[in-house]
Amino acid sequence: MPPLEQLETNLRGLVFDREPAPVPGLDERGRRAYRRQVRRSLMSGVRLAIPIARRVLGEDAVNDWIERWLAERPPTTRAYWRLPLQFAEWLSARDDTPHPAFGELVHWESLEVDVLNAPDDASEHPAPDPTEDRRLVLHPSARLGIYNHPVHKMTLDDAIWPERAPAPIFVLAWRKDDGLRWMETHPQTAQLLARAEGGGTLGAGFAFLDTLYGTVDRAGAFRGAGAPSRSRRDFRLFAALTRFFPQDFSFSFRSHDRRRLYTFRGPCLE
Amino acid sequence: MNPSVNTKKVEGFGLGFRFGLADQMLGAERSAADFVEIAPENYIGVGGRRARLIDAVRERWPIVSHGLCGDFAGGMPFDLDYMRDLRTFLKRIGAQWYSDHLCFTNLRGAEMHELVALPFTDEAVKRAAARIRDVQDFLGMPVAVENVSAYGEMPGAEMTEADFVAEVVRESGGHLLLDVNNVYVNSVNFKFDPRAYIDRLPLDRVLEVHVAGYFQEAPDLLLDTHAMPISDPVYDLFAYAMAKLPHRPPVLLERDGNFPPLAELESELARLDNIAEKVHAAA
Repeated sequence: MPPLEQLETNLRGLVFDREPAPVPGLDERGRRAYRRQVRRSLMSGVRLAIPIARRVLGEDAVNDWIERWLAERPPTTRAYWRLPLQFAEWLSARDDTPHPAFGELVHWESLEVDVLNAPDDASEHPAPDPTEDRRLVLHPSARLGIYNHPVHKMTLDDAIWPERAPAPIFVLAWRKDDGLRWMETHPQTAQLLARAEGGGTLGAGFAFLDTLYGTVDRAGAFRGAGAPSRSRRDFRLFAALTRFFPQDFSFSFRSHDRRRLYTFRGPCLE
Repeated sequence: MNPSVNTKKVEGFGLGFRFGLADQMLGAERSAADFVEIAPENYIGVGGRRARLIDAVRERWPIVSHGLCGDFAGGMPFDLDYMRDLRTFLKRIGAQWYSDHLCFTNLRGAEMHELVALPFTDEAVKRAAARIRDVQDFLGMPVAVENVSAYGEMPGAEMTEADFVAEVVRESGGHLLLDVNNVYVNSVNFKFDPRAYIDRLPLDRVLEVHVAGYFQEAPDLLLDTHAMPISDPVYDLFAYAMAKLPHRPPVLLERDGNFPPLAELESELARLDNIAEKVHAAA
């Protein structure tokens, strides 16, 4: 291995591994300083976004999980504000967290950062019509979380682990007036949203739901409220569908820029 | 409606635009800053408040763009997707040049969000120079590399730090962003003469100058935190650099934390301006 490449490998082990790897030729002061500086920068970027998780789990325990993340799957994003979500994505795949709601809470708190920084809606799409086979359009800040615990209702003042919900909770989040807004939504709506993000059409989305649940009431898909007024035409799609609740629900959601794929696991998948 | 871009030439004395200073800077009726510098990684692909801030900034000040994760000498392949996004963003804000740090920011795919020194070797010179040329060609605008603060000497050094920086600038055909604070920090951390260091740099290639404050962690260890006022030795070294430079590049004050009232930063800018004026009056 060329010397520069070898040095990069050694330095990566020094700053990211749980136990600092040796870097032959680098003095002790440099080893200490670089490991501390890099880890401090990355950990701060995550910690700032998850105050409730820190309060409920404790600072040391949260730090320990962030350090595990750094060692097992170091961040790949150049955007500092995306660090919390990368941590949350790694955490969501773990089944050994100290509380089953921990990963969900970190995801929810990270989702807020993601929503607040999501691109603006610069599109000029026509309002979707349930009778036409138009392409579905979502607001760029729309994100979906699926949780077994009502972590979206936790606050700093009420930071105790919630009881597991009787059924998975589907939470749609979006940005309005620079703040986070959210609503609980129906799993079928979530699936429709997933089809939309896949570039599908409204007709294809309903046809997909039909194959799962029988004929879905198309008019019913557009009832309900909770949509942000500015982008109401887009959010009408998210209004509650009120027919069935699937027991074998799996869900994946590609983000607005189609670069990241969120996957969620619920009890129905266990 | 798209806001306009301030096309005034970047010159004089500028401030780093940071979220912690945004309200003060944009709220002030008059600005002591002639230009601002932003980190593109914090704005590419974002909407909401951040996007509106950058729109307001580009209307009011000319902008230069200073990257944090360029990894100029790293081993990762040229990231075409990111570079396209960067180019689009720089065009949108009317950035007049692009700079980043001469260091590792990514280690074998892992982003550090921190700056780690390079080994001063010919292999690193060649790798950095090639990448800088690629970036400059792709972006179609001047690219400058900044000398960084360091806390440990990487193994295998074949030249001094100053010669390493100079070699990279010469071989790449790029420009130098001379960070005076970083020179001073390293002169304490590694016990060398900061003036002799500056003397060895290709000063005719300096596109911009940075000044900032450091934190003294130990008698022999300074950290480049950008969270303190500029220290007197750095003002002195700044005066030396200004006297040596064959031209008057724009000077930027970096403050990334522990934000004081804007007036304090403006008085630091005024002091830098006074020093530069005195130096050039005496020349």
